[in-house]
Formats: sequence, C-alpha cells, structure tokens
Amino acid sequence: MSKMGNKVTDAPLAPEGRMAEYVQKKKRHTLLRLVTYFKYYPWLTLVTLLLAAVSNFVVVAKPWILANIIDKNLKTGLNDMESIIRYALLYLAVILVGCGSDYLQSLMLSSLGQRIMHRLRTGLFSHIQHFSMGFFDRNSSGSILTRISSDVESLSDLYSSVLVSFVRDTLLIISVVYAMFTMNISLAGFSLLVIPVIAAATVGYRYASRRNYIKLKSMLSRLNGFLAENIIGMRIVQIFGREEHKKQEFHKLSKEYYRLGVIEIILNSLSSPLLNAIGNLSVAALVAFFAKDVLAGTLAVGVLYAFTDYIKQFTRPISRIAEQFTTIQSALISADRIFDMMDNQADQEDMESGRHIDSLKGDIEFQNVWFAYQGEHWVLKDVSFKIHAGQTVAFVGATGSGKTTIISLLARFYKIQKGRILIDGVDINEYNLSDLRRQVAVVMQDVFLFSGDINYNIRLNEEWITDEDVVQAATFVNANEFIEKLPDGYNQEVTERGSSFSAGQRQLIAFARAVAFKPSVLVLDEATANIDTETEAALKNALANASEGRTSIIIAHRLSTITGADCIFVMKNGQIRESGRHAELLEAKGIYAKLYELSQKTGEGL
Amino acid sequence: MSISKEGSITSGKLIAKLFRKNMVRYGAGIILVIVTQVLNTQIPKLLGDLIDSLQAPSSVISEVYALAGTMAGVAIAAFLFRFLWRYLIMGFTRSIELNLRESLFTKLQSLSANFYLKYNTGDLITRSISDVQAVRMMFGMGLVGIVDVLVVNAVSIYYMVQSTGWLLTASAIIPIPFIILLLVKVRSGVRKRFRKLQESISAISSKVQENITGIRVVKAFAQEKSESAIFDKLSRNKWGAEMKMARLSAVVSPIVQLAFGTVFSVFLIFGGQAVIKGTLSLGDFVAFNGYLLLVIEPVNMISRIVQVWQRGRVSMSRLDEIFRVSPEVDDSRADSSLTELESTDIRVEGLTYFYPESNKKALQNISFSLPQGGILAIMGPTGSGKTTLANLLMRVWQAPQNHIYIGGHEISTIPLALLRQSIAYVPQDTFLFSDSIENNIRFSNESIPFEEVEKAAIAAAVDDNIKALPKGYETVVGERGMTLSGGQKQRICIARALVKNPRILLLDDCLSAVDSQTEQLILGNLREIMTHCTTLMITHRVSAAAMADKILLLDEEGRMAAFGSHSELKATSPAYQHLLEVIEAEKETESDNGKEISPQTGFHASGRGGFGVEREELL
Repeated sequence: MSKMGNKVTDAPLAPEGRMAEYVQKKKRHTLLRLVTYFKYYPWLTLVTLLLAAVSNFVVVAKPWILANIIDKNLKTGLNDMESIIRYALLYLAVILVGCGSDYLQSLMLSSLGQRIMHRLRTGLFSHIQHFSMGFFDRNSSGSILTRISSDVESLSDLYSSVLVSFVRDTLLIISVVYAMFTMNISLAGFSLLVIPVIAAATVGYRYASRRNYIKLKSMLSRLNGFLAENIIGMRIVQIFGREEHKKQEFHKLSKEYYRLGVIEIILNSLSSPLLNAIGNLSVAALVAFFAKDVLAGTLAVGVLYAFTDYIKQFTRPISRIAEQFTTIQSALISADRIFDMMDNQADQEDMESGRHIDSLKGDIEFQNVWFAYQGEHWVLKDVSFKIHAGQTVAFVGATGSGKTTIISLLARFYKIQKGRILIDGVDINEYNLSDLRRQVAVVMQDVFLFSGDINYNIRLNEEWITDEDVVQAATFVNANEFIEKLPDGYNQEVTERGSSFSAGQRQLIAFARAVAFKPSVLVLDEATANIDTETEAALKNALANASEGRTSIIIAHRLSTITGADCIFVMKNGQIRESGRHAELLEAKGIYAKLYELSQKTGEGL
Repeated sequence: MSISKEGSITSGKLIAKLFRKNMVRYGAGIILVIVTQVLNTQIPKLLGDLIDSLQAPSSVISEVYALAGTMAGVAIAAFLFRFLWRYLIMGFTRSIELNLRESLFTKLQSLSANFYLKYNTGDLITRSISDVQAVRMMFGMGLVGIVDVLVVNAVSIYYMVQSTGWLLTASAIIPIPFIILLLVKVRSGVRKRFRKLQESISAISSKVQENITGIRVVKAFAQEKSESAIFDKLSRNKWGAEMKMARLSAVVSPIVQLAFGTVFSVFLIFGGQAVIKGTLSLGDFVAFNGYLLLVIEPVNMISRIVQVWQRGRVSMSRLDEIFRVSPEVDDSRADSSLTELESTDIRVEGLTYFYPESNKKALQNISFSLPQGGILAIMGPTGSGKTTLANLLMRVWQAPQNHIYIGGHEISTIPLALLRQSIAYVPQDTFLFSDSIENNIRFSNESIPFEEVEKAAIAAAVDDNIKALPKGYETVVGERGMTLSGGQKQRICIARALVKNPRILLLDDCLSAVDSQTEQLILGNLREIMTHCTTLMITHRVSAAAMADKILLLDEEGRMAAFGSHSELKATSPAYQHLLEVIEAEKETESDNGKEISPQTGFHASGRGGFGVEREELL
C-alpha cells in the first residue's frame, strides 16, 4: 500500500504576493466571529459590562468630588468643615464601590474568557476527532497541537482584558471628542488633525505586524512538529549518533523563530511609543500654533490648557489600544488558524446519521472497487470479492499490494472513488459510522497503546466491558500470563506508546482489545508478526475460537498462519489475482503455489 | 535516573552567563529605561512652563516657540530612547529564549531511554515552548517593569518632596510597604497556582499528542466521543487552574486602590483643614492628588510584575527539573584514547539486568561469546528480554559493569560515539523522519553518495518499491509524508542500517512484516554483508535462526534456555527441541487444513452491559 500524502506546509498557504489580499479579506469577519462567542454567556457578559460601567463611573466621580471640595469649599472660602468630611466619606464610599466592582469585574472577565476558551478548545478537539484519516495523513501532530494549545491560548488576553478595555477606551475617546467640539471648534478641528497621522501609523503597523505574525506562528507550529518527531524518534537519533545533525536542524528552525521574534519586538517597540510621541508633539504644535491668539487675547489660556489635557486624554486610550494591538493581532492570526480548521467540513466524518446496528451477520462484498489515496495513483483496481458470514479469509501478497488498504476501506477510513462495498447486502456508507467501526475490529500492524493502565488499554472508555471481560479477553489471547506477572497486574501503568512493553506484548494487548470489543468482523493485519512461534501457536487456537460464528479477515506474510482459511485472496499490484482454498490454489499452480513452495523450501514458518 | 546536584547547567546559570555576555547591552537598556522615564516626567513640567509663559504679561512669541520646540524635542528623544531600550532589552530576552530552548534540546538529546519512559512527548514540548516563553517574559516585561516602577516612584516621590514636603509625601506613600508585604505574602500562593496551571497545560498537550498519534485506533474503536469527554475534563482542569490564579491576582489591584483611596480620604479631611487654617496652599493640596495618581499607577503594575515573575520562576524550575537529570548512559568511564575497535567480538559474562525502578529481572545470568564476523540468533518468547539485550549492547540502557565486552573492552569504556558508530541497528518498530526516502536511508551520514543509498536499498530489496513511487527516492515519508506499508518501512530501515557499513549489525525482528519471498532475498543479501561484521539477529523464525552460527534461546524469565548451533541444539537442547516440535505440530495441522484443533479455551463472552444492548454471544 503506498499512497501520496499531500504535503501541507505550515507556511502561509497563499503565495507571497497574494498574501496581503488574503489577509485583508479574512480579518474583519474573524474579529466579529470572536466577539459572537460572548452570546453564549449573555448574563455574564451583561454583568461584566455593567461592572465596567460602574468602574467608569468611579473614575469620573473621583475628580468630581475633588472639584466640589476645591471649587465649592476651599476656593470660595466657605470653609465648611462638615461638608468636607461629608465629601471625604463619599470619596471613601466611591473607592469601596470601585474596588468591589473592579474585583468582581476582573473575576467575571477571567471566567468569561476561560469559558469561551474552554468552548473553543473542546470544540476544536472534538472537531478534530471527526476528521477523516486523510486529514491526519496531511497534517502533522505538531501543527494540530499548536492549534489546540498556543493558538487557543493567544485568545486568552483578548477575551479577558482587551475586548472590554477596547470598548471602554472607544467610549472614552468619543466622549473626549464631544467635549472638545463643544468647547472650541477650531481648536478641536486642529487637534483632530492628529487622527490621520495616527491612522496612517496604525495601518502601516498592522500590515507589517500581521505578515510577521503569520510567519511567526507557522514557525512555532514547525518547532512543535520538529520537537514531537524528534522526541518520539530520540532513540533512533541517539543510536545513529545523529545528535549533532539534529541539533543543527533545530538550530535553524529556532534561529528563524528568533529572527521573526526580534522583528516582532521592533514592531512592538515602535507602536505605542510612536503614538505617545505623536500625542506630545501635537500638544506642542497646538500650543505653538495658537500661542499668537492667546497673546493677542482672542483665546483664553484656560481653553488652550484644557485642550492640551484633552489631547492627552485622547491619545492615551489610543496608545493603550495600540499597545493591545499586538495582542489583538496575535489573537486574530491564531483565530484564523483555529477557524480555518473548524471550517474544514470537507474532511469531516459523519458519526451521527446512518442506520444504527447492534451487530452484523458479516457478509462482505466488494463490487468493482477502485481506490486511490490521491489523484489517479490507483492502489486498488477494480477489486471484487465476496466473503460469507462466519468465514475466515486471508489476504496474501507482496508488501504494497493493497492488503491493508482493503481493511481501511472496510472500516470506512477512506472513501472509495468507484464501486461499492456491501456488508450484509447494504452499502457501508448507509451504516452509522460509529456502529460500523465497532462491529469491525481491526488489530493493526502498528500497535498503539495509550497512557493509562493495561485494563484501560483493553477496554478503552467502554464501561460495558467489565473487569472479568478484560481478563477473559486477555486470557483468550494468552496475554493473561504475562500481565499477571507484572507487579501491578492489570493495573500496571503503560508509559507513552507502551514503550515499557516488548513489541510482542503490545501486540497481544492490542489483540485482547479487539476481542474484548466483541465485534462482528475481526480483522488481523499482521497482528502476530512480532509474536514468538509458541505464543502464536496458542493464539491460533484462540483465533480459531474467535472466528467461530464471526467473519474473520487475516493478513499475514507467514503463509503457515493462513493455510486453514476458507478462502485465500492473492493480491498483486492492487488487484486480486487468485482466490480459493489452500489446496485449490496449490493445484492451480499460480502465484500462490509459487509463494508456498518458496516458503516451504526456506522453512518459513518452521 | 539520578539527579545530579552539582556541575550540571541550570536555567539560572545559563541565563546568568548570557547576562554576563550581554551586560553592556542590558545595562545600556536599563539606563535608557531610566532616561526615558525621566524625560517623560519632564513633559508635564515643560507644558506647565509653556502655559505660564503664555500667561506672563511680558511674554514674547519666540519664547513660546522655543519652549514648544524643546517640548517637541524631548518628546522625540523620549520616543527614540523608549524604542531603543525596548529593542535592546526585549531583543536580548529573545536570545535568552533561543539559548534556553537550544540548551534544553541538547539536554534532551543526551538523556537516555529511562528518561523518556517518565516524560511524555506532549509534556516535553510544553516545557520547550511554553515554559521557555514564560522565562523570556520574566526577563523582559518582568525585569523592565521592576525598573520602571522603581524609577517612576523615585522620580515622583522626589517631586512630591520638592513641592509638598516630607510630611505629606510620607503620608501619601504609607500604603506602599504594606502593599509590598502583601505581594510577598501572596507570592508563594501565586507560584503554587502557576505550577498547577503549567501542569494542566502539559496534560492537555500530552493528551492531544497521544490522541493524534493514535488516531487510527481511536477511530477504529469509535472512541471519538469518549476521547472528547476526557479532553473536556483536562480542559476544565486548566480552566479551574486559571480561575484559581485569577481569584488571587484579582485581589491585588483593588487592595492597592483601597489603600491609597483611604489615605486620600483622610488627607481630604486633614488637608482640607490645613487649607482652611492656611498652613497648606491650595496649589499643594491639588498637587498632592496628582502625585498620588502618579504613585498608584506603577504600584498597580506591581501585581502584574509579580505574576510574570512567579510564572517565570515556576517555569525555570520546571526546566531545571530536566536540566538536573543526569543521563544514565554517558562517557564518564570511557577511555578516550580508544578511537577504533580492533575487533568486534562480543563477550557477555553472567549478565543480569533489572530495569530501573523495577525489581523484576529482565535478563538473568546470560553468558555467551561471539567471534568477530559471527552470527548470533536470539530467540525466545514474547517479553523474554531479547530487545533488552540488544539495547544493552547499544547502551540504550546501561548494563552493570564488567559483564559485556566488545573487542575485549568493557562496554562502558568504549566512547559512546565510537560504539554507536560501529553498530547499525534495525529496530522492531520502524521509525522514519519527515524527510525524503533518500535522506532517511543516509540518515547516519548526510555525505553518503546516492549510489551507496541505492545499493543499500537494493540489498534491502526495497529499491523496486521506491522507484515505483511517483517521486522515487525524493518521496517524503514520515508523519506528514507518504504512508508506506509496514514491510516497506521495515526494509527502508534495513537499508538505513546497511548503508552505514557497520562492524556490528543488530537486527531486531525486522522482517516480521515482509513476505517470505522478499525475506529470502534480503537474508541472502545480508549473508554477504554479514561476513564482514558481527551480527545479532532477533527472530521468531527458525529458518532465519538456522543460518546463524549460534542460537541463544531465552526463556520467559529472561534466562538462557539454550545456547549453541542449530544442529547442536536440535540434538541436545530440550527447550529447542520443544520449540521445533511446536512448529512441526503447527505444520501438520496446516496440512490437515487447519481448523480442527480448536480446543475450548474456556473463554466465552458475557453479555454486554452498560448500554442496555443485548447481544448474542459472539465468542
């Protein structure tokens, strides 16, 4: 079985020239989409906004109280001590309210942010669970991991602080502008000249930083991918003494990440200080420009002074927004990456619909099946065969002849291009996918164990499989013996990918898992390759039992294991070339006869 | 796995070294932070002067322009300095990040197999990425924040004293020591919570990594929903950890405000009284408020700084946890004068091996010797220690001293690089890197010419398969590449070993997924190569074992059940004879067409519960 993996790089998908366009188009709706997540928590959002209003009120009330004390009391010489004390106490009360609302507000914001991120994270994870195998062939675990971890994490600040202060600052700017225009139109007009300058700076920054962020994040994905591959393959690297070489490769990636990181810093270092400077410069310009009017007596100093204050009040939130722009920008790129994955419906598997089944009889039929993993690179060419319920059949053939592919298709891991696959006379596409896969248990070439104990690895998350069932299944495949010898028996922890067990033991556990699930169709894909002859002999007996009343499909290279099959299919280059019982095939003196003769001569299976 | 206390690098030492190297840069950055802050405080003063100059009866326009010009100049200078310090300091922290991450990776490369039994891939990735980032933040925003707070406070306190005198200043900053005390108090709580948080992030990464790697099993057994449920729990854990953190950190800012607010309310009463009495000017009364605001702002920032700082410390300790592990296998006993192995005969004497932290003997009292160029087949039931023996010979695991000799040298006296350079290994579980097939084969040395690669591929009988691929040897394999069949992968791994032209060849059951025709071809090719090198071959097939000079048969307990040549063992060893009998029996049943012997193993299925689905017994 060989197949073209469509190599998807993490680098920006669009070519460089078109990137800006791609970037512009996506951005607006991404932000909106992020905001819509608040709708799932209307009350929390509402209360948070109310609390923000209270905090704003406190900010405004404090100078008002102070002004009252000064203007109405101290300045006028009224000297009413009682009223001063009243105001002081009011001030304290306002502070208390402010503290309370600040505390609650930041808690609620955190809670809101965490809820939304939890929703995004788990939504993304279960979306990924429902991707078809083709997706996993194209995407590295590192890049998927980056989506669920760092990309979701990038949204944290956005939800827990940025969006709310964005709203608050925008309101602040509007009110300041309003105040400016009511005070003096020409001064206000002059002050607002600063807006185009700020806008130009912002647009320039946004463009540059967005480009850089896209690269930075895809680089992070690649770092993750590289680490995942090299940690998993560390033993091979060490045995082949390639540490230095791999270090250089890692250095290249890290260095590139570093370079992009420094660019990010330069851009960030420019943004908020620049806006600050623009604010100060415009104050200086304002004063210089209107100084003549003041000296001429046509403009009151107080008004000019008030405007210098307004400009500061006006640029401070803008500069704050600019400071947060980094966060927003980073969040938007991450959100794009997350939504891109969430919006990928084409690769989704439908686990819900379809006909529900509790069991199958096990009649299997392939009708003129054509299949290619990609393009016209046909792996199966017009394959047709029939397996009757309860039969044990075998597929033999050279590696890469398409044996494993047949199994993958039976479990609907991939969609066929032409032809039909029927189980019990019904097209497998009509069955509920979950039910279908439960009925077709596959023990694979590459055994995979999860972290957890042995018990868990046999029953997975199925509660209906009891402890006794687990022990029975293990006994059935001769795994019981070695498991019971372990210090913790069935509760023995399995380390990552089962690395603390031998390959043969891992295969036995995987075999027990398949048996424990009590499937209607049992498929063994080279499942006994790493098991010693004696264990295998015992296993064969078990298998004979297991296949009683159930359709079994065996793929094996050791012909000795399959001579008893009800039918043997001989595959070559994606086609079935011969089929029949062992004796029939020998008589036919075809490919199988030759294979068998060879295996006998070399003592294979001996 | 031992923990070394001294001599090992730690993240702290590493960062200290970087600081020493970049002292000028960082120092200049910090000075610029101070200059910038001082400049920033000049701007309100200049503005005040400007307004005053407009109000003065004798004011001249040129004077106003001069002041405005100065103000513009200061603003521009502040901008440039601020940009510069950010670049200097933040850029430096990026290089801390780079160095830390690379050192960590180098450390990971030096650690042996038992380390990887303990740590999950996802966890190690989290440490290499997210923890390293947290350390960067600590020395960037964290450190600068502290300088910022100190400078701003010092400057504003200075002006306060200048304009309002000691007494008022002191009363204004009364809360500061208390707030610092509070922050010191919550520090350890913050750290504890961050540790939990970071662990929850690791748990999520580990789950995702595992789930994606095993996605085929997840799908085959329709476990998508329950996997999502498990993930949901982990994600909730993280949410909880975040909230615990938030509850603590949210306290700080309101308390700061409350403290200063109380001080100010008290001041309103007494200050107001003083103004009435005429002992305090109205201007000073107003100024006090202004300065108080100046002080509150940075104090508020302290809570963020404490967070960044504690998070960084937690992450540093998580990194040090790895930096401190000393590799079980190292060159500490190596004889560095040894640059070549004269001979590759292998002698094992009374070898008994326990896996670390396990009291079960994996191998017991194994003794054999194999001359240079000899072929040894290792056989035995599942879990009998065959792969363990191979791993001990490659020093993936550390064998006890004075039990294994290669070329007459005790194995740990042979420099690791030399040992592994001499050995070529074909693992049981095929692992290929995301790279072209060609580069995967020449993995041991990138300068191997293509002809050699091709030759090795031909010897491993995989050349034809590779050439049949659309891109031939350029085909990218590995995680995101072309999916090859198990047999194809095994043969590429064989080619990868052969191209090394090794002195010792270790084959770990590496033909299990290959059909018999191909197997014969490969074994024939290998036989040619094996004349040059000492070969150890783990196998379950007697056909393969028969071509070995000696066979080492292990039993379930990891003991030697038999040792000798095929014909010797056939004649003398009961264990070997038994093995042959089993195989014979198998063959007979095959020719009888099989299914007759199906003794009742006593296994029968009990009905499936849980989901209330009644099913007929299937087994």
